[in-house]
Amino acid sequence: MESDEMKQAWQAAGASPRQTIDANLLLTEVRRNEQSFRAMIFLRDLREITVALVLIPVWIVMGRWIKLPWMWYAMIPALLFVAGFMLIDRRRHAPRDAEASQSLAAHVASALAQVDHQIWLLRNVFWWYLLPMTLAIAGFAGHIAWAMWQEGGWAVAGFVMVVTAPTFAYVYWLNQRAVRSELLPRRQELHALLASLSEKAS
Amino acid sequence: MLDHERESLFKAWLDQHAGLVVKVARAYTQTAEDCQDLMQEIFLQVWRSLSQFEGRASASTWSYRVALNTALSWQRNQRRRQADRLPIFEIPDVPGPAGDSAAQVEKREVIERLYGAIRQLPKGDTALVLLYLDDLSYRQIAEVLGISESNVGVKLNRAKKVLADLVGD
Repeated sequence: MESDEMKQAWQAAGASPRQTIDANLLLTEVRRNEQSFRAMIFLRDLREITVALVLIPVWIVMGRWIKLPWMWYAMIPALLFVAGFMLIDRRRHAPRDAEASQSLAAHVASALAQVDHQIWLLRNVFWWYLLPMTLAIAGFAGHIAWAMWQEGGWAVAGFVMVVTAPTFAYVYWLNQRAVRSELLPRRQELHALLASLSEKAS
Repeated sequence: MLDHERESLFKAWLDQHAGLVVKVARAYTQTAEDCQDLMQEIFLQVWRSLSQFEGRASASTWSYRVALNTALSWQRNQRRRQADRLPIFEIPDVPGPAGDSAAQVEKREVIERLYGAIRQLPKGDTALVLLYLDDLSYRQIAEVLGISESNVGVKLNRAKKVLADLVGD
């Protein structure tokens, strides 16, 4: 079949489907979708900050209740740092509405930049997530071991680190697995698409 | 932009460009359910982006950009997509005039074969072929895709051959 014939058939079939779409109903649905989209973004941000904000009073209450040493509270700045980092990063790298009407090549390049950033974020999860938490927990364990050496504080400290180390190692592994199984293939796909758009065929 | 202005702009846009959304959604999906989902995603994106439309590109170029970009993002996020959407419109069958004569049935089959072939094209070529079939000029295609006109020509020649092979199979 010749390409002109294909074009003709395509355009002949291109009658507007306007009659099958009720504009008012569509508007209602679009508004509903927009609201649920905004609610989803709001809840996602709220969930992340809530985890930190709920943990902080829990941490304080536990510390006072069990009369734990002051190093126990080192976790509070660590939690604030992690929550703040995630929120600021999300705000700085949020997709913008204007990106939807970029050219296809520019849109793919933006998507690629976002995936690259996600990869950077997960590959560096140790520095911005695990390290602050580890320092706070290790500080607490060290303090217990030092201050209560005679009363078996070293055993408590050892137990805390034995629980913490594999948990954090698992969190790290999960993040690296997400990079390998989801983000790298997506980046490869976007690279291929961008290359296919920009290549000059010989 | 005031809400009622946005609403009337959206309705005017819908009158002109709803057909384009159906075509893009059909070309990028395999099932009616996915097609419905992608169409709603495109309409939502248009609604959200209307205030950004500054008239630097023509309305159809802008619409194709939004529709194609949304289709590509939708494909990437398919597994995570929203599942609570209401089916608010019928996806029209591949249209053909009422009272099917043999010629009209044949035309409809050609369109079905075209959609089938377009779905098999590489992602970048899908957009290119859709724009070509909708009779956009090289300049307009270049604006939508963000590549040079000469590149459009070279890539289109190659894509047309692949499309003809796929339709012929």
